[in-house]
Amino acid sequence: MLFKQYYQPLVNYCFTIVKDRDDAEDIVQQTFASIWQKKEELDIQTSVKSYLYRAVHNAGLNKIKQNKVRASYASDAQYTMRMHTSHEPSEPDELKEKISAAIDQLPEQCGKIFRMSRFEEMKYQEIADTLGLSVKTVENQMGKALKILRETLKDHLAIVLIFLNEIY
Amino acid sequence: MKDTEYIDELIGKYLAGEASPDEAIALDDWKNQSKGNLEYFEQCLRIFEISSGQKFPRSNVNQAWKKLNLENKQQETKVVSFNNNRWYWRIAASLVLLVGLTAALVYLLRSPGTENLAYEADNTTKQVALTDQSNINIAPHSRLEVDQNFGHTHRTVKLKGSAYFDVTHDDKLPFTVDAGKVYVKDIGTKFNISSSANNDTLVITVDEGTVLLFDSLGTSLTLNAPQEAIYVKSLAQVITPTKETSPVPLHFDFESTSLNDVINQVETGYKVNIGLENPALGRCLITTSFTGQDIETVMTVITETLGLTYVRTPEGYLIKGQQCNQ
Repeated sequence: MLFKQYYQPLVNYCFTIVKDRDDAEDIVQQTFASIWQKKEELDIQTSVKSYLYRAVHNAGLNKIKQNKVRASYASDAQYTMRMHTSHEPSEPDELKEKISAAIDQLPEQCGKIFRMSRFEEMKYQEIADTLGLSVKTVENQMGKALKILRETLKDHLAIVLIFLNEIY
Repeated sequence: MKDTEYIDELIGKYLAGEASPDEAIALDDWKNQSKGNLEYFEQCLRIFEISSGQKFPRSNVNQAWKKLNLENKQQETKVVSFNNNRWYWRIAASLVLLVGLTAALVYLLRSPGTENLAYEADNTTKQVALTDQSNINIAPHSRLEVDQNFGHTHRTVKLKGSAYFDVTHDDKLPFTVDAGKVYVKDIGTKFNISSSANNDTLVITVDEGTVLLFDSLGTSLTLNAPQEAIYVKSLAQVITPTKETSPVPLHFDFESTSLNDVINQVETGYKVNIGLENPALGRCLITTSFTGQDIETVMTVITETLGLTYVRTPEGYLIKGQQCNQ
């Protein structure tokens, strides 16, 4: 079924954009609801999958814009808290330290770009503008950082994966 | 080596929230290819999660499904309560009678030529000229169905078997052939659809212009004259024996662009007129991109994104709504 096949992948994709679990789920549910309500009027001539991802992408980008506007009116502190509050259990300190050490070991530019993206939440375009690089170089360096980190840490990550499989 | 570099970049873009819809689809498809790919992705995901403190959601799909189905459930409950009360049955029976009488009246008073038409060719080819000036040669033992709204609200015909189409093009009402599970939409065209004896394999040959071949499972392909494609219904697959030489597709990239500017560019690109019910909507901002989509998809995505609707007008389209959801 369309819903069960695409719901989780679409929520995941939307989460990468809006960085909020509830917003991501709301957006994906609204997208499906809207498709069903208007199924007679809609004339989807291309792939349904492509339509769904595109609709979720657009709604996600618009949500970010709304949040930015709201945040500029409301208290910045409250907004920041909502974006970062996590109810999940925290990661084992040992693994955090290993990742932190591995990031420190990255080649200079690679590490800098990875930190700007992950810790300062900068968009690729912002990183490129700040460092005077092309967006393509930023993409390339992020890919490189991920590759090195994964190879350095894969033994530790494998243990976590087995543990996760037992839970889910 | 190049492949893994590409995958690392793709995963990086996806996790950083920078992936386009097409890239997200490509990554999800790659993840589903093997357990190894999935584990590779999960390892990268863990690095991102732990380094930034953001956890990926693991949703309860069944719960979400139930939530969405709530309205349907409520309607079903109403139907059940009818069973428990005879008065409802009497009202229902009266309504059915009323609807039946109305339908009979409409049928009796209908103007000639508004009913559904079916053209069948027996042992020889049958030539049909439709109300929109499109000419169709129906191959022997094939059947073409045209419903009463053809040329008014749509231009979709149903084909069982084979036929040659010489279609009058109309941007506002594209001519579409529903060949059972697969559709062929004209973009100014002469084309042939030839079916195998069991109706499972279709050969689509474009003599002039361009057609879009698509099905409900997500396959879609643009064919330009003199291209030919074979579609196998049971496999839901397209085979293209000739080399693709598609023209450069229309591309739009909008980044916080006002609806007025978006409309100007889309009007020029697709040669249509787009109006606004409320001129103030022109100030709404939109971020999206399109490559090679047809005008209907572009209109749908733009209006859906802004929480608006659109209708077809004799000149093109009219975007409706009082304000956008921003």
